[in-house]
Amino acid sequence: MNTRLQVEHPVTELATGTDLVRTQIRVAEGRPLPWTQAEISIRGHAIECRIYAEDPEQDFRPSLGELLVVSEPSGPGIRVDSGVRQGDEVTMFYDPLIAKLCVHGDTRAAAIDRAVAALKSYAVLGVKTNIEYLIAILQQPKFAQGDFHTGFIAEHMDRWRSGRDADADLALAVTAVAEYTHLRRGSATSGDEGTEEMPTPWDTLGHFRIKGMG
Amino acid sequence: VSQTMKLNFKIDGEDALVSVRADGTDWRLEIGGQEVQLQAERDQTGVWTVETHQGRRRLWLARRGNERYIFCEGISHTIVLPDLEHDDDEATITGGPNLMADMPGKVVKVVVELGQEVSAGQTMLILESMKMETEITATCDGVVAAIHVTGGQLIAQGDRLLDLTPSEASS
Repeated sequence: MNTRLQVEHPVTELATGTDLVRTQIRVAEGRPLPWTQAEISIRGHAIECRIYAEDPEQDFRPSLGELLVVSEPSGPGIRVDSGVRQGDEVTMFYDPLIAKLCVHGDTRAAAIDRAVAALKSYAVLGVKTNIEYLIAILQQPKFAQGDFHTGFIAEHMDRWRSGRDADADLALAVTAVAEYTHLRRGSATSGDEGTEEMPTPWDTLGHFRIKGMG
Repeated sequence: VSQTMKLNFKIDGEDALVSVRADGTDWRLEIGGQEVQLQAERDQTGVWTVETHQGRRRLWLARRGNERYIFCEGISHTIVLPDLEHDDDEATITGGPNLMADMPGKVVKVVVELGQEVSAGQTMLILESMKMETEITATCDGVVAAIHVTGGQLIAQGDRLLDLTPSEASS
């Protein structure tokens, strides 16, 4: 018997409606399994995407540094098992796994659509991530058809290139607007960009401290 | 009349000249010779919603030193601002017992009093820059000889904050 929890256990949980961690603890307490095999059925499709701080354009080398922004997606059929928070540092001492994004949908196509939408609103800034690469895999027609195997990456993702060039003007525009707003306020004032008229929670909450500073 | 700001960016390693000016609630930009018009709003969580003729997009932006990071619909960009910002994020102190601000910011609190004896490492001032608080500690044992700032005061780079007279090296 292998008593380990699979790294993919969220997929099992989403597809069967069970809570394996809770069950494992109950069993360890000497209580019986809450269900029998016959009572378990698979419903819909579940997909797990592992979000890594790594650079797909540099042979998936770990990308180290502080996570300046971590904004996780949420909504029906979306689950994020995450081990880090905004402000944490990705260091060389651990695996650069940021989180497991897990989705559930009635069909494979629905699960894929949900995963793509969730990844598109999963903002991680400060380090490179594999988010764009994961979206590209999910959008491969062969992946949608369920036609994948251990040679899938070599076969279909070999010519992958980031699509950021097409997007560059918008990024430049927003950065310019943010800088304009920031600089017009004067560099001697404290605070971040674009909060000229509106008080933000950061203003009203009081001061916070970044660990390791000072 | 709104002024036009010209910015020399480097995006994902490529140079890009951007000019920007506010026009009522709109922004008018020129990026690599192309005119762009948009509306932009930043919500309380720091997320930007941008509306162009191509539709509405949500963008996340983070700053670190002279680097800006942008996330939009799964794609990330790094933009470098060559001349605008200091390279260092935190207010650091140029050595010696006379403390000077290395970055513009605000004095949150002066913790020590004039004439007070302090030991190396003791917190004397708390500064704030870019929403981060930094404790300014004594570089050596000594006596506070002068305090040039007060709580709440805005400070510029190079401003003298506090003088410390090192104690005799008797110990």
